[in-house]
Amino acid sequence: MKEQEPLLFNNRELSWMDFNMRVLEEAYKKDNPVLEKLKFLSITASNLDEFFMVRVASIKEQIHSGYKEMDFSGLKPTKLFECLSQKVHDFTEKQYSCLNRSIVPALKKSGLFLRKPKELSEVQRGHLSLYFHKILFHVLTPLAVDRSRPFPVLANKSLNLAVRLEQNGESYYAIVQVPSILPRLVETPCEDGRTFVLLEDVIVMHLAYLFELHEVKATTAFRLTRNADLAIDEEAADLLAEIQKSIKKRKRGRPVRLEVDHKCDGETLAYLVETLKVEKSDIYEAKGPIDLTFWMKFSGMEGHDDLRFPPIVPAPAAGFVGKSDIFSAIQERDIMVHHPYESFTPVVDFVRQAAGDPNVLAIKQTLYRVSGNSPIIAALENAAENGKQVTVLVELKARFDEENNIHWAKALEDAGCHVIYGLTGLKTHCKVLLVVRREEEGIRRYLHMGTGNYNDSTARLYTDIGLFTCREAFGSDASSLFNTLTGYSRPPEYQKMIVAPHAMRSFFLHKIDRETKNSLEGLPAGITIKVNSLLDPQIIESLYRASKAGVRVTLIVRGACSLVPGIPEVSENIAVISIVGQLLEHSRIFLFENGGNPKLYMGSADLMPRNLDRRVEMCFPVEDEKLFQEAIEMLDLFLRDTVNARIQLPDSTYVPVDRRGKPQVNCHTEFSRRAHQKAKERLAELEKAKESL
Amino acid sequence: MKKRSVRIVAVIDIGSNNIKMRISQRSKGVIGDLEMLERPVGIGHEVFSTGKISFDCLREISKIIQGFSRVMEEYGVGSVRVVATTALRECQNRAYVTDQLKIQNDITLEILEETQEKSLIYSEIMRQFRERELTDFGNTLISYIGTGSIGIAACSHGNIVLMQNIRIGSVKLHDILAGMEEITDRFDVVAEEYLDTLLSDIGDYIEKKSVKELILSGSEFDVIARHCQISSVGGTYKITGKEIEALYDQIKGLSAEELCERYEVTEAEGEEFYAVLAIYDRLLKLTGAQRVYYTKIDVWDPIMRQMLLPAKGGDELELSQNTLASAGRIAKKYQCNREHYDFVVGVARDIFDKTKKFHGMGAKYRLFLELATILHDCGHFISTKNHLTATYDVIKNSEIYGLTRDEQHMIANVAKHNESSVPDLTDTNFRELGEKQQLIVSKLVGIFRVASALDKSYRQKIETVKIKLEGQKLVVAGITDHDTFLEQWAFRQCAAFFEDVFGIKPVFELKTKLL
Repeated sequence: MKEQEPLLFNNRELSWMDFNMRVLEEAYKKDNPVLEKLKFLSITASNLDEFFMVRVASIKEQIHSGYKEMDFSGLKPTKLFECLSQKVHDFTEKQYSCLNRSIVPALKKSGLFLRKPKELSEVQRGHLSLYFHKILFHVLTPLAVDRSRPFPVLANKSLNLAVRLEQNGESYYAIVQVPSILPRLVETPCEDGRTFVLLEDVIVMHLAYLFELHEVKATTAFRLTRNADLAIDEEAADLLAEIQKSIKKRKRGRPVRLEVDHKCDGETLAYLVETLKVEKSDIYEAKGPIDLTFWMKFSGMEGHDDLRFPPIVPAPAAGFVGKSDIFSAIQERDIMVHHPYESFTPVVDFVRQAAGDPNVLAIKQTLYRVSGNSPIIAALENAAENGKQVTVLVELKARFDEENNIHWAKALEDAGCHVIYGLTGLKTHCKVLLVVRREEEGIRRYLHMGTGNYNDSTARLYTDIGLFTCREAFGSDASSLFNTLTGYSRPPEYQKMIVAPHAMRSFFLHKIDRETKNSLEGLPAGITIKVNSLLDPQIIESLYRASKAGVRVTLIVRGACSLVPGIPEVSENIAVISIVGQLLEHSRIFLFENGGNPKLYMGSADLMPRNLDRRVEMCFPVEDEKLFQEAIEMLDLFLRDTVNARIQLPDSTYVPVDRRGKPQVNCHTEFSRRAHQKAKERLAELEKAKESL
Repeated sequence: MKKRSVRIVAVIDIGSNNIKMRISQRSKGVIGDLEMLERPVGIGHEVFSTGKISFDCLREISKIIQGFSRVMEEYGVGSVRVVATTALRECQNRAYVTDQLKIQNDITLEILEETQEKSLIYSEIMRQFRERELTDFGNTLISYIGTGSIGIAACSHGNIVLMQNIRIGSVKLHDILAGMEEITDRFDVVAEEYLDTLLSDIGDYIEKKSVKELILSGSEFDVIARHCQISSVGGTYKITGKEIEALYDQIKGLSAEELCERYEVTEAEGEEFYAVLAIYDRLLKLTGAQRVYYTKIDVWDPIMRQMLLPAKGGDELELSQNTLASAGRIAKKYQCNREHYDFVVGVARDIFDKTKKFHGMGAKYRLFLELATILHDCGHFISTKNHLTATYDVIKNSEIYGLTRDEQHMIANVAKHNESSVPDLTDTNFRELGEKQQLIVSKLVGIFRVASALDKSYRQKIETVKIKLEGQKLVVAGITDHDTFLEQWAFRQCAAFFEDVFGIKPVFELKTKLL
C-alpha cells in the first residue's frame, strides 16, 4: 500500500484497543455507579490479559520468526508492535488514573476504603497480624534464589513479590507468590465504613517472619503474562489428551508482559528483566494494585446495591408465557427469545423436557462455553440416562475454556452421551440444539438456534437471541449439520442454514454484492449488520463497493472494526456505531433490503476471517413475519441508542452520539422494559381468553 | 397419545465411490425424508483395479455403517435394507464382505444385480412419469448412465420391451479411452465411434421404431442444466435434443483445462461431464428424439417406496407386464412361434391356478411359468440339435426386466425340460440350484410339460381346453376334430412326472365336435 493512500483498513489489534478504551470510558462515566465503574475497569484488565496472551503474543512470535509481511492495514509486525506498545502503555496509565482519581475517591465517599498499611490503625494492624499468622502464613512458600536454587517457574498471570534480601553483606532474591486461593482484599475492622487492604500489602507487612535471618532491602509486586495460545496437534489420536498436554505447556509460555509496581527499585527491576528475559517495551508500571481483575469480585460483593445499576431482571419469555409444554408452543409458531431481557429458562427447560419426554428419541447439541454448574449438562446427562440418544459436540479448543470443556466432555461421556469434538482444523462455534421427537404424524424435529452460548450464567450478562422452531427445512439442515460434525456425512447443500466454512463467506459476499447491484439498478438497497467484530478484508471491500454504489450501510460493531467509515468515494455511505454498556452486546444480526423484499439472518458468526474460514458457524434466516418485524424493531432500537452508542469517525476514533434534540435512549434498559411489557400483555391476553371461556 | 402408526425405515446404498443412507418416514400416506447421509469411500477404485476389497476398506465401510446405525437409532428406524451395486457386484471377495458386515454391523447386505438395479430404476421412472402424465411410454427410450455402466430400456405400448446393459459408464469411458488422447487430439471422434460399436445392438431395434422421447437419468445433470439455464420441475428437467447437441459441439474440441475453466468444474467432474455428453449425443443421434427429459432417480427411491408403500396390485401388474413384454421381445428376436406359446401359456396358467392347493406357489412363480413357456423355444433359432441347451443359455444370459440372475436361472431350468427329460440331480444346471429352487423348478416343469404336450405339433389342434380337479385326478379336457396322436403320446410321457411331483394323476379327455 502506498503511503499517501487513505487508510482503508484499521488494524485489528489497534482497533481492539480502541474497543477496550470504550469499555474504560464506562469506568470513567460520571453517570455510572461506582461499583459498576469498578466492574468496567476490571473487564478492561481481564480483556487486556487475554489480549496479551493471544494477540500480542502472536505479534511477538511473528517478530521473533522474522515475519515481515504487511497486514491489510499496511503495518509490519515490528511497526505494529511499536504502535501497540505505546497504545497499551497509555491505556495502562489511564486505567490507574481512573482507579486513583475517579474510583477510589468515589468509593471513599461511599464509605469503602482501600488503605495502605501506613494508613491503618493499631486495631486494624492487629487484625491483619492475626490474619497473617493464622491463615496467610500457612499458604506462603517463599522461594529463595541463589546458585543452588534457580529462579522458580512463575505461573502465567500469578501475582508475586520479589524480595531483595541481604545476609552477611551478600544480597540475593526470594520470590513469594501471592496466594490466589485467598481473597485479594482483606477486610479489617472499621468504624466509619469498610476498610480493605491488599493481600500483598499484608504479606509485605510481615515479611520479617518469612525471612527471619535476613534483612529485607526492597520489595516489589510483579506479574508475568505469558503466551497462552495453544499449539495443538489436531491429528493426534486422542485430541482430549493432546489438549491437556498443551494446557500444561501454556503455563510456561514465553513471557509477553511484565507488570511491576511503579515504585519498584531499579536493582530489582533489572534483576527481573534479566531473569525473566523480557524486553523493555514489555514492562508495564502499575500506579496501583497490579492485576485489576480482582475488582470484579469486589464489585459484586453483597450489599451496596445503591452503588450499582438497577439490575436487569429477565422477564418470562413472552412466547412461552402460559405454555407448560414447550413442544406444543413451538408447534404453534416460531418463538424468538432475546436474552437477558427474556429469561434463558426456556432453553434449559427445552433440554429438560426433552430429557424426560418418552417420545423424544434423540437430543443433539453443540457446546462451546458452558457455566460452572450447567443445568443444560445435567439435563443432557439425565436424557442419556433415560435412554435417549444424546450427541454432544464439546468444543475442546474453546480458548481458555479448554480445561472446563474437557471436564464436561468426560462427565457427559460417563453419563452415556456420545461426545464428539468436531472437525479437524475447525472450531465448532455454531449454537444448535436439536430434539428428535416421535409424534402421531411422524418424526418432528425441534430446534433451538442461537447467537450465543448455551451458558446460563453468561446469558444474564450477554445479549443474545435464540430462535425455537420445528420447521422441517431447519430440522433437516440441523440433522445434516450434526451428521457433518459427527463425521457421518459430508456437508450437504443446506436448505435454510448458512454454514461456515462451507458457504458463509460466499453467501455474505453474494448478499452484499446483490445490494450493490440493486442500488445501481435503482431498486431498494440497504445493509444493516450487527456483529461483535468486523475484520474480514474481503467482506469490507465488498461493503466499500456497496457504499460506492450508493447502498446505505449501517454497521453496529461492538468490538474491533477494520472498516473505516466516511472515506470520500469509498465509504461515505457507511456508518459504524459501537454499543458498550451495562450488558455485553453479543447478538449477530444481518439485514439486507433485497430490492424491497428484505431478508434477515441471525447467527453465531462475526465477520472475521476466523469465523468465515476456520470455524463451523451457522446463521439462519428469520422467516416468521412477526419475528422478522421484532428483529427489525431491535435493530431500530440499537440505532436510536444515545447512552451506550458511540460513532466511529473517519479517523477511526469513536465519539458519543450527539444527543442534542434526541430523547435519551438506553437500548439495554429499553429492551428490558419492552420484554416485561410483552410478557405482561401476553399474560393479560391469556387471562382474557380464559375469562371468555 | 397414539403414536406408533408411523413407519420409519432406512436404505443404505453401498456404491462405487460412496456409502449413502436415507431415512424416511411415511406420514399420512406420503413418504418424507428425514436424513440423507453420504460418506465418500473408494470401494470402486479398489475393486476395479484389484478385483477385491481390502480389509482396510472393509473396516472403513464397517465404521461408516456404524455411524449410520447410530443415526438410525436416533430415529427409531424400524427396518433397514442395505443394498450394493456395481462395485460389490464385481468384487471377487464379496462373500467375505457380506459375512463381515453381518458379523461386525449385524446387517444383511443385498448385492443387486445389474438388471435388478436397472429394473428398479426404470420402474420408478415410469411410475413418476405416469403419475405426472409426462408420457404414455408409447415409443420411449430410457437410459440410465452410471459411472460404470449404461442401461438402456426401450418402451413400446407402455411396457419395457427391451433392456440392455453396456459395461461402460461415464467414468469407465474416459478411463478406457484415456490413452487415446496421446495419439489423437480428436478424442471426440474416437469416443463417438467406440460408443457406436457398443450401442449397435440397441440401434438395430431403434432403427425400426420412431422414438418420440428420451428419458435420461444417472450421472449428474447439474452442469448441463446450469449451462442451458433450465430448471427442474419436481426433479425433472426438460430439454431439447438440439440444446444437448449444441452443448456437446461446444465442448468436444476443448482441452481438459479449458473445459474445467469454462464450466467451473473439477477435472474429475469435467471428464464425467464430457463422457456423459458424448453418450447423450450418441443416444440422440441413434433415436432422433427431440424431446429429452432428465430425471434424478436413485436406486433407493423404488426401494424406499417398496418398504414404505408396499406394492399395491397395480405395481405388481406393471412389473409382470414389463417382464412379459421384455420376454416377448426376446422370443420375437429368436423367432419363437407366438401362436404356440400363447396356447401353452394359457393352458399352463390354467393348470397352475387349478392346482394351487397342491403346489402352494404364488404369483411370482406363476410368472416364472409364463416366462419359461414364452421362451422355451428360443434355442431352436440357434441349434435344432442342441436347442434345449441353447434355450437354457439364452434365457440365463438375456437381460429380462425385473429378474435376478438366480430367477433367470430357475426359468432357464424350467424351459429346458420341455421334452422327454425331467429335472434330476444328474443335470449340472439343475444341480446348481438350491434345494428350495429345485423343488419349485420341478413343480413348474411338471405343469409346463403337461401344458406343452397339448400342442406338441405346434398346430393348436385342441380347442377350448378345460382343466378341472376330480378327486386325485387332474382332468385335462379338450375339444378337437384333429388327429391328436402326437399330443396324446406326449401327454402320457409327461403325466408320470406330474404325478410324481403333485401326487395327482393327469388325465387327458378329448371330445369331438363331430358327434
